[in-house]
Amino acid sequence: MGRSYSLLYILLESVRNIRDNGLTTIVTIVTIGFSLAIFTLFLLVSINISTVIQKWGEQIQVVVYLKDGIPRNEVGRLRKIISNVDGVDKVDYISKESALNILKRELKGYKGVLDAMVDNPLPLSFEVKINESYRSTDKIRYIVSKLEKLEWVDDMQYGREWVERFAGLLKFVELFTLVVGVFLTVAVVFIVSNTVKLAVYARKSEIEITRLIGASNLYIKSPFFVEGVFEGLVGGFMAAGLILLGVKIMSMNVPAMFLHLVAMPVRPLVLLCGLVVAGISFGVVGSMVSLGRFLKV
Amino acid sequence: MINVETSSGGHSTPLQPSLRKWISIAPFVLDRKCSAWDNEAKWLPLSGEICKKSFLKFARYLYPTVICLLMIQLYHVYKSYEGSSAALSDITFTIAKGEFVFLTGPSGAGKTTLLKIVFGIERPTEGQIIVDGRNQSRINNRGVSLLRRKVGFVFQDFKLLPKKTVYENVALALEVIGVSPGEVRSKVQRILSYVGLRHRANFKPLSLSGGEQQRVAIARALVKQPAILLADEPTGNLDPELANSIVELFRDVNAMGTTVLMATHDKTLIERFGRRRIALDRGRIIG
Ligand SMILES: Nc1ncnc2c1ncn2[C@@H]1O[C@H](COP(=O)(O)OP(=O)(O)O)[C@@H](O)[C@H]1O
Ligand SMILES: [Mg+2]
Repeated sequence: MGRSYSLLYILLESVRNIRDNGLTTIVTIVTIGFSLAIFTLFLLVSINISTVIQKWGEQIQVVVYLKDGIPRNEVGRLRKIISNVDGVDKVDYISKESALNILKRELKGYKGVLDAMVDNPLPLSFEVKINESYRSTDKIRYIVSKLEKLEWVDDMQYGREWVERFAGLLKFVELFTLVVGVFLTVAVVFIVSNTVKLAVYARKSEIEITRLIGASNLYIKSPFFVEGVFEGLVGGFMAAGLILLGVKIMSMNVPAMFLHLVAMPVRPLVLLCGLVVAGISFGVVGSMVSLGRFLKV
Repeated sequence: MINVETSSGGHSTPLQPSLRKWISIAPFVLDRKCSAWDNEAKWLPLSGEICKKSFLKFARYLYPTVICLLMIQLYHVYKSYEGSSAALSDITFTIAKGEFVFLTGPSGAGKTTLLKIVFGIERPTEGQIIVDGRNQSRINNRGVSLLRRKVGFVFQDFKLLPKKTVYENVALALEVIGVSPGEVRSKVQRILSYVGLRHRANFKPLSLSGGEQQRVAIARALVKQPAILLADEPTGNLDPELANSIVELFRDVNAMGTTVLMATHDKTLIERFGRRRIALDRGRIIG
C-alpha cells in the first residue's frame, strides 16, 4: 500500500513546507534569481566584448606598397611568396584603380580634390592579413622584417602602436574576465549554497523528529527535492526577467555604438531554459548536500 | 546476574514463571557459559555434572523455540559517551513478547540511554541487541526506519513538531508509514479521543499544557499500534492522578498485545501496578 500514498503525502508536505516557511522560500528564490542574473549578465558582456575584440583583431594587417613599374608576372610571384611567409593568413591585391576607388569612397565630401587629379598617384599594394596567433608586436615585426627583404617591396605600413595597444587590451580583457569570472562563480556558489544550507538547518529538529517516528530517508528528502525544484524554477524565471529588464534598460540609455555589448547571443527561450536548469541544480544539489549530514545513522 | 522478576500479581503476563526462567537462561546457553547452570538453573530438580551437560544440550535445542517468544534481548551491552564514564555496563536482559516492564533507577542511572539504544538512536559501544528477532548491531539506515515503524517511543521532551497542529503531529506517524488518508483520519481521531485530546486537535503543541503535550506524544507513539512501546518517564510532568491514568492506558495497550518498557522513578506507581522491574543504578542492573 505504502508507495502510492507516500507520493501524495510527500507532495502535500512540500506544499505545506513552502507555505509554512514562506520567508525562507522567498529569500532562497531571490538569492538564486539575483545570483544567476548577475552571473549571466557578466557572462553576456564578457562574451560580447571578446567578440568585438576578435573583430578588431581581424583588422590587423600589413599593407605592403610596391615599387612603381613592377611587371605583371612579378606581382603574382610576389603574392605567392608573401602567402608562404609564416603567420600570413591571406594576401589581397589592391590595384591602382581599386585603391583610388577606396579613397574616393572614404573622401566622399571632397570629391573635387580627387577630380582635380589627372594621374593616379596611388601605388600598387598588398593587404596582408595576419594569423591570430601572430597578432603581437614582436611577431608582426618578424613578419615585416621578412617582407622588407623581398624585391619590389617599397614601403610597409602596419600601425605599430595599434598592434601594441591591441595586444595589451587583449591580455587585460582576458585576465580581467578570468579573475572576475572566478570571483563571481565562487561568490555565487557560496551565497546560494549557504542560503540553501541555512534553510535546511532551520529545519534540523524537524528532520530529526520525522526520522525518529520512522520516516525513511527518501520520505524526508523528497519534500526538499520538490522545494528545491520549485525554488530553482521560480529563481530561474526571475533571473531571466531581471536580465531581459537589465538589457532593456541598458539599450535605452547606452549610446548606439556600445549596444552590441549587451546584445543577446542566444534566443530568450534558450536563455530561460539554461537559467531554469541552473537554478534547479542549485536548489536541489544544495539542499541534498546539506541534508546528507542529518540522515546518517 | 540476570534480573528476572515475575510480578506476584502479574495475571496478564502471558508467560508461565518456568518458561520465563528458560528464557532467562537462553542468552547464557548461547554464550556457552556454564555459569547459567550454577546461577540460574538451581530451580531444576536435577543435579550433577551429567545432568548439567544434558541440560545445556537440551537448552541449546530449545533456544530457537524460546527465542521466538522474546521481543527485546540485550546481551552484555556497554555504552560510554565520548569523554565521560560508562553510561551502561554489562546490561543483559530479555523481555518477552507481551510483557510490561518498568525500568527504574535514579536520575543519571542510564534509563534514557538504554531506551535510546533499543530504539536505535544511540549505538552500543559493545554488546548485542536483538529487537523482534533483528540484531540491531548490524542494522543500516533502512533497518532503523523499519524498526521505528513497529516501535512507539514517548520521549521525555515529547519532540513534537511546533509548526504542526496536534492532529498533524499524530497523523505524521502514520503518513510516514504510508497509511491511506482515510485510515489516517479515523485512527488519529480515535487515538485523540482515547487520550482525551479531541478538542485540542487543531491546536499547536506549544499552546498546550505540559500534561497535554505529554498525551500528544503518547498518542503519536500509540497511533500506529506498535509492537513495542518505549516510554521515557511519561508521567514525569503529570500530577499523580493523570500519571495513574497514563499507566492504566499503557496497561490497556499492553493487554492488547503491545510489549511495554517504561522508564520511571516514581516508586508509588511501580508499587501500585506491580509489574516486572529492571532496576538500574550508575549504568548497571541492580535488581
Ligand atoms: N549525549 C550524552 N553525552 C554524554 N553523556 C551523556 C549523554 N547522555 C547521557 N549521558 C550520561 O550518561 C549517563 C546516563 O544518562 P541517562 O541515560 O540520561 O540517565 P537517566 O535517563 O536514567 O537519567 C549520565 O551520567 C549522563 O550524564
Ligand atoms: Mg532520562
